[in-house]
Parts: sequence; C-alpha cells; structure tokens
Amino acid sequence: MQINCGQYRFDLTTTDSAVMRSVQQVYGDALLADAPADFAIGLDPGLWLRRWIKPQVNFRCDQHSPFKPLPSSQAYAVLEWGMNWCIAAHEYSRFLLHAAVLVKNNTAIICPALPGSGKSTLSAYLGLSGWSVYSDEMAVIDIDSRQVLPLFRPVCLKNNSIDLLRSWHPNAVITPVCRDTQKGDVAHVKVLSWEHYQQLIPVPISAVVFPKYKHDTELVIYQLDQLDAFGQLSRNAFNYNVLGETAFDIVAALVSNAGLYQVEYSELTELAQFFDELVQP
Amino acid sequence: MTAFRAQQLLMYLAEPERCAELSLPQWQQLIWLLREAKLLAALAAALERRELCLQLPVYARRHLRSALTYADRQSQQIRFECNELKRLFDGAGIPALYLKGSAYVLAGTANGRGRICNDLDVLVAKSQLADAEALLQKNGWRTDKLSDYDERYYRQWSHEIPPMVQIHRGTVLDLHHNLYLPISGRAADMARFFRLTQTTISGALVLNPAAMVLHSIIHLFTNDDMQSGMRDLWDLYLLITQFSTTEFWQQLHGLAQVSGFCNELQYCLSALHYYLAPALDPLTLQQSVNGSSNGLWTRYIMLPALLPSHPLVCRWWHRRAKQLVYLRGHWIKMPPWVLLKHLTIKTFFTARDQLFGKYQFAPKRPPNQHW
Repeated sequence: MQINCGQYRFDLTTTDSAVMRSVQQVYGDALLADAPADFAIGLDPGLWLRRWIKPQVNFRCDQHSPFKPLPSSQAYAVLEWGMNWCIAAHEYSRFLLHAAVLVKNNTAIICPALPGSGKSTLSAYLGLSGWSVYSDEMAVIDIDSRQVLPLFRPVCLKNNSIDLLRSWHPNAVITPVCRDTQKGDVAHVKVLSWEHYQQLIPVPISAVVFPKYKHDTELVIYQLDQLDAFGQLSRNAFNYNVLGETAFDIVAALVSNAGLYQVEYSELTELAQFFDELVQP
Repeated sequence: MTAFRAQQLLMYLAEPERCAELSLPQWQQLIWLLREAKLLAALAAALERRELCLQLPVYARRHLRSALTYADRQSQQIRFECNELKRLFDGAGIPALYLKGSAYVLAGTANGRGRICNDLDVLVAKSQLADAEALLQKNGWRTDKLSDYDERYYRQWSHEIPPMVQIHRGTVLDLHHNLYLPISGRAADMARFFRLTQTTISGALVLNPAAMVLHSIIHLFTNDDMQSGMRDLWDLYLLITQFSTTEFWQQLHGLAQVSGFCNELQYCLSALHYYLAPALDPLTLQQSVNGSSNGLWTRYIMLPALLPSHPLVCRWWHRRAKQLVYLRGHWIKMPPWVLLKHLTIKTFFTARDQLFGKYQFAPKRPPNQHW
C-alpha cells in the first residue's frame, strides 16, 4: 500500500493487519495520486523460530534493515521511525533539522528536539488548537528559498501525554498504544486532515524556540545569543555534515533573521500564548 | 514487471541521453535499483557531465541531487583524510599507496566523481605494516574488537589487517600489505607494483593506469561478495575508456600475465562486452571481442552474478549464480583444508543467527539514537 506524506511517498509491503488499520487511520484521507514512490519499505516478520516465539518485526528500506528487529507489538511505531530514517538517511537536496515546526499566519516557529523539551506534547496540543503542525520532529527546509515545507505526518506522543491529549481532545484520532518501546509507551495522533494539508505552503521561519518543561514554574523567557543558537541548531541537524557549507549558510541566515528564545514552562496554555505573540502579523 | 532489461542497466549511465525517454514509473524503478547498486550518484555525475539534469522530472532530479551531494561530500572527506594520513606517513618515512575509491578521487579519474566508497584503502610494504599500524593507533585510529576467529583470519591469511576507525570522524581505513590474499598463493609481487606508481597533484602515491585497472579487476573478479559488482564494473568501464590506448592494453595484458590474473582480465572483457558493448571505444570493443570468454561459467554464472541484489532485476537464478561466485571466491582464495574449516565456522554462525535472530548473541543498538 502507498503512504503519502506530502513531500515523500512510501510504497509499503506488510501483512500486519493492525499496521494497515493504523496506516488507514492516519494517512487514509491522503490522495494516492499516480506518482512515483520515493522509498520501498516493508515490515517483515522475524525469521524462523521468531515467528512463533516472541514475534518480532523488522523494518526494511528496500533491501536493507537499518534497525535491529523489535517486538511485533511495536510495529506501527517502528514504521513511523523507519519512515523518518529513510528521509534522514537519503535526503540531501533539502536541509533537515531535528525540530518541531509549528505554523500560524504563514509564519513558522521551530523547536529543536532537545530531550525534555516536551515538543511532541506541545505540537499535538497546538496542532489541535488552530496551529498547523508541519512536523513534530523534522523541519524540512528548502535550500534555495530557506522556507520550511509541510509534511503530512502524525505527532508521536509518549507516556503520560497520550492520556493528557485524550482528556483535552476526546475525539482526536490516536493510533493504538505501543507499550515499552525504547521511548516508553508511544502512540501517534493525527493533527492534519489531507484537506487542511493541501492548503499549506512553504513558509519562512520567524522564531527558534528552545522550550524546557519544568514542573510548577511560571513562564520564563530568555533571549538566546546567535552563537549559542547556531551551535544548538547545527548539532541538531540530520544532514549538516553532508551539506557542509550550504547548511552553514542556512543556519547562519536563520540565527541572524529569526527571534531566538529559550523558554521554561509548565503550563501549555501560557506557552501557546507566547507562541501566538511571536506570529502576530 | 520490470521495465528494464538487466543487461541494459549500465547503458543508462554510459548513454545518459537514454534517460530522457523514461516515464515516471520507470524512473522509480531505476532510482531504487541504482540506489541499491550504489550507482545513483554515478548516474547523476554522468547526467551532469552532459548537462542533462535540467530536463529531468523533479522527482528524479531531487534524488539524483541528493545522491551526488552525498558522494561529493564523501570525496571531500577522502581528500581530507588522505592529507592527514600523508602527513603521518611522510613523517615516519613510510611510503603509502592509495587504492580503489581513494585513488580514484585523489587521481581525479573519470570515475572519481559520484562514486560511493565504503572505506579508505591504503597499502604499505609488508615490512612496514607493523610500524604503520602502530603509528595509526597512536594517532586516533582504533581497531574494533573482532571475534578471535575473525582476528586470526585477518592476521594469518588476509592481505589487509582488521579495519581501523578514526575515533573522531568515524572514517574506516583498510590497511593493506598486498593486492590479494597471501594464503591463496597468488599474492602480487608488491615490489613490482610499487614501481608501477605515479604521484597525484596533491602528492599522493597511486598505481599507474594499467596497474590501477588490473587491481580493480582483481578486486572485482576474485571477490566472493558481488554486492557492489555493478558499481565496480562501472569503475572499470570509466577507467578503461579514459586510458584506452594500444600501449595501455599492451601493459595491461603484460601485467595480468606476469602476475597471474589472465582469467580475471578475461572476465572483465566479457563483462564489458555483455553489459556495455554499444558504449565501448573501438579499441576496447576490439579487445572485448577478442578477449571475451564464451564459456558456460562466464555466461551463466560470472556475468549474471554482477547484477545488483534487487528483486527488480535479480531473479532466483541470479541469486544461485551469486552463491556459486561466493563459493568460487572462497575456493580460489584458500587451500581446501583451510576453506573447509572456514565455511564450517561461517555456516554455524549464519545458521544460529537465522534461527534465533541476528542480534540475540551480539546485541547492537540501532545506528541512530534519535529514534
């Protein structure tokens, strides 16, 4: 079956019906145009004995398996991570940052993916309250225009945030929870309809925000200096070392032109308010 | 199911004008195939040489650009590492000869652009091997722990020592002392090959055209692993097309004869004829007509085994051919009693991994910790 992520298309081979249901749930409304796929991928059952004893799932990008096999209960999460891997390991015609991209008023804020930032919860929360989530962990930046492109992907929720999100949005489309993955419990929530996605256009990045979740704190906003932001952004890019000078120029332009902030927060509503101020036309 | 005749695959690289006629579904297949064969960047380089990139569909252009960007970055890395190594080896008075991918990049041969390399290959004289290894270890290159068996394989039988990894940059270096395994009894006379060298503009030592091509031939046609077969054949095509003169062919034949690799040269000529005949220059074409083998082994085993291991072109009989080449590769590189022991041990580990999963006994983290 084909998975259309907007910028990338995957040709998926699997016999796992649970995975196919989740794919349908998340990507089912996307148009399957008669266009070539970028990657042939597969989820294969483990070999021999492993089909019956502690069944495993093995992600395959064409003829290669980049990960070790994982318990088959984690199949859908493995698929989403595998799709990320395919893009990150092959895409050098665009600059890829490990960051969430949140867009309103045709302006993007990117949140580099540092551990403990809570960017996935933030992405899901904003995605279901009027913002467009271009991605929850991969900013795809056009090299020439330096604008960020939209991806048609769900947001990956972890542990407590799954129940939190359910309580905020009982009607949200969430895939079944994969327990005990490398990142704990994981589920994917749909934050874009295909109809909405089609309205999205490449947009400029106006701010880079490094959020940090801190229990019971007021919202504190620090201005970051350019050098610090440059260091963090270049370390958080997937293909910085391959793009070399091109990537350097993009990051340099980004830190010169965008607002650079570090934010401590405990209330998402307060953070959302700050984000709203950042994208005022 | 496939739009391509397997035999025609390399012709898209040799005559990239042919790409203009491809439909989008054909592009999809070609890109998947060439990505598997490590030849996507080579196609991009070929198209760029003829300035054909702008006419291509966006889908193809994006993937080709990605592949070429990656390959270019790798070339830059190779030049950088070789400079570092040159400084080290020059300081210690050890002449170092660059082989394969690094030699193509340093010498700027036609196949240097768009070539994907797995590692750096450097050769030093056997008498200086221990010094060279110690020097590298003192300067940021470490050797990963191997199983006792693999360690012995390298040290006793092989023409190279276990791979070394640069601790900061992760570059992998294969340090050789011969062009082929001494255990085979066919090791090259390295004193001769050290005389057949030239110095690149950057001051690196590489083999001269005939020796470079012969080494490339030895590497491909004595190999048990044909995973990069098409890529290596493409190397040979570009090198030979670049060097082809009467004098070059005389030297190549002479060198193959004295070093005992005439069979391998014959396989090479057969493969060029089979996969690339319409694109050969008149001299090479004549060579390939006169020098090809029509034997059953060549036609039904050696040539099909060169295809990329992708289901779009690789059918079950191609896989059988690859298995036979695997056996031959082992048969010619070791005496029978050593081979028997080697295959028994390898089969045991493979069977174990098939039964219980590859990582049951050697846990390995996924390469990217982000996911």
